Amino acid sequence: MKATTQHETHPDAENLNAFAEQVLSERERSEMLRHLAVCGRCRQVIGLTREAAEAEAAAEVTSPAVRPVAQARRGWWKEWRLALAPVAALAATALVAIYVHQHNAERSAQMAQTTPRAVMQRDEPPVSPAMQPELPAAAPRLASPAAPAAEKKELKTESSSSEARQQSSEMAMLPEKPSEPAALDTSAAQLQAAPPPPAEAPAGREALKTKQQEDNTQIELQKQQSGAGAEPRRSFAAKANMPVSMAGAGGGASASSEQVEVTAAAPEPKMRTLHGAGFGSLGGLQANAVATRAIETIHLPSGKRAVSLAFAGPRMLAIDKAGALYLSEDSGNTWERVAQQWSGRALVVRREAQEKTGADKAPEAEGNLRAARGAGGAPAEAPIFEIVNDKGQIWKSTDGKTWTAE
Amino acid sequence: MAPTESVASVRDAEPAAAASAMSRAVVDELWRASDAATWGLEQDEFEQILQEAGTAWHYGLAEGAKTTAHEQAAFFRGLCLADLVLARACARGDERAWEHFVAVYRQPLLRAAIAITSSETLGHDLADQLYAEIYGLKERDGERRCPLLSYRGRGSLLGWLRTTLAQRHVDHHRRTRREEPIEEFDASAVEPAPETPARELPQLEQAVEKALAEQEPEERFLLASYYLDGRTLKQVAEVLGVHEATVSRKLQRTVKTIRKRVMSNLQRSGMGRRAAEEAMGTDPRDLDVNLKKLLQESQEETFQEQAAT
Repeated sequence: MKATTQHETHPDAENLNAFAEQVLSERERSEMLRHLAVCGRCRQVIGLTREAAEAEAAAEVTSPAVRPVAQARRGWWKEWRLALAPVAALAATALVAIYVHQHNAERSAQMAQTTPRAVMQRDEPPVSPAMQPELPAAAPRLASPAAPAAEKKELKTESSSSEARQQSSEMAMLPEKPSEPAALDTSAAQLQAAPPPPAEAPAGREALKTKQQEDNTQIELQKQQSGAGAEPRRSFAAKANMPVSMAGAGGGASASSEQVEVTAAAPEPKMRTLHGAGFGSLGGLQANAVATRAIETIHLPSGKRAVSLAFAGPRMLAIDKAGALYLSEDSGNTWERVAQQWSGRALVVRREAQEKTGADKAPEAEGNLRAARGAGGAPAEAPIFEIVNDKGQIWKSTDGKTWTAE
Repeated sequence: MAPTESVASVRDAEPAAAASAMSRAVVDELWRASDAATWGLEQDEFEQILQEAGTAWHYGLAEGAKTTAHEQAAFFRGLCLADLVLARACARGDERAWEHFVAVYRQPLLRAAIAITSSETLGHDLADQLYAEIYGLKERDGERRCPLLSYRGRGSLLGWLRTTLAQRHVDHHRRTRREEPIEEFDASAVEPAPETPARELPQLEQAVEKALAEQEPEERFLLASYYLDGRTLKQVAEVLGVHEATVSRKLQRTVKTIRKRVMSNLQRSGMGRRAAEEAMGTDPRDLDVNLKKLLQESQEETFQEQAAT
């Protein structure tokens, strides 16, 4: 630098600025200092320049509008960056809590499904001794889970007098009904009457058919009577989401379908007990027990447990856990798998729901009962079964073999 | 050299002997890095600007020293090339460049002017004056002359603008003060004569002047900034780019050294040790006055209006 003394020149603005911004080489800096040491004017210029730079820096700090756009865009992220960690931790905690809650719910549901009997026994109200004989009479194979083999044997080997005696002896071993309900109808009274003596028991196939018809009639009556008080069960099944249905009646289109959901975790459904209705006075709770035992005693060819069951007379339809449908024309004695004609996985098989008024039910029940007994009256129409898949779609069939979408 | 010439203008006259050695690849690299194409500067024009800057600054080396291509490239990479091409584009009259300049520098320029003058009114005046001059409203010899042509990229353009503002303000202030009536200028100028015009005082002044002349430029700058300008240690440290404590230590050491040298100079001038110590105990105001004269006696006379011309 040539401007070494005050007598010559002052350095220009670029020299002074370069010195203030410290971009000069050591040699240039030394020359500038030599000038500055003797030049108050240039020292003052540099001092004012630094003050202006500091004021500008302060203005940039206090005024966010001065910041470049890119820096401002990054700003919000930087400002909230520290808040992201606790937010992420909270979200993770919430996810874990939801997972644990769902896992526990599934596990409790599975436990309830695997121990329905225990739960049902716990939920069952004490059954009066008068009702006890009705269970084996209504569904001899389903009445006693402890003796399914004996009952199966009875059905297989045709009816015989000894078997009839055995059945009669089973009935006789049950405690005697202490008192009759005040208003039993005729059919119920007949069903609840003492079994015929062994000598009077019909022999051979005819005797068995008669017995089965009586049993079916009894079940139908039970369904009709319990169905009147089972209105809330359908919604309950939707809540429980684990329906184990049993729909059935003693044949006849007039029979209103009934769906019994067996769910351990479910609260006891509200039942309307029909006093004086004979067999129907069992109520929905005992129907639950019947359905549960029926499902448990069914042995499907797949070896899997049945989850849904419907029957009309000797015709029974059952769905196993895999969603396969099986048909039995001999009251569950032999099963035949039905080819899948529906989409998705079948969850529920049932009798078609028919809207009937309460006033219509009693006569129809009477008619069905008479038809089942062969005592004359209008012939019963073929029942309609329904299958509900996992998507809520419905297929219908009258014979259980051919299914058409609704 | 005429005293009115600036350092930069002197450098303009220097031959650009080594400029031709600049590699074409380096020019291309710097041309792209500076985004010169945005302002319509071709590579040839850009190279010419670089050569002018390198010649004016001697590539940061001693005057007359030969430079290698590597040294030239290192020097060019140290320049604020983006600011340089913008300044040249503005000086050339490029409208887009002016729009960018106004958008980026107009407000900082005004804030700097207000900070320098400590007055909003004076700041606006100062900034507008420089802005008009930069825009080329001022003509010299019938030719429009833009001060931005004197910017060569050594340091930032904003820093250059601040320094230019500060120069103009200081020069205006000094010129105005010089025009004030003497009686109103400085009442303290009529100082009473020393009670004891020591016979040793001229010897003392010579001894101090000699001692100061022996100091390094940085030490003299420290003394002048701290004792004469009244800057704080922090302000001096910021200018030098060192820590405040470093400035303090250097000042103590410098004062101690100067004292020793003054004593030594006095003794060399034939003064005894005792007499020299007594002379050192002279009223500090006497020494102060002498020191101020020593450092500033020619400033008023040599003040030249040269910045940004």
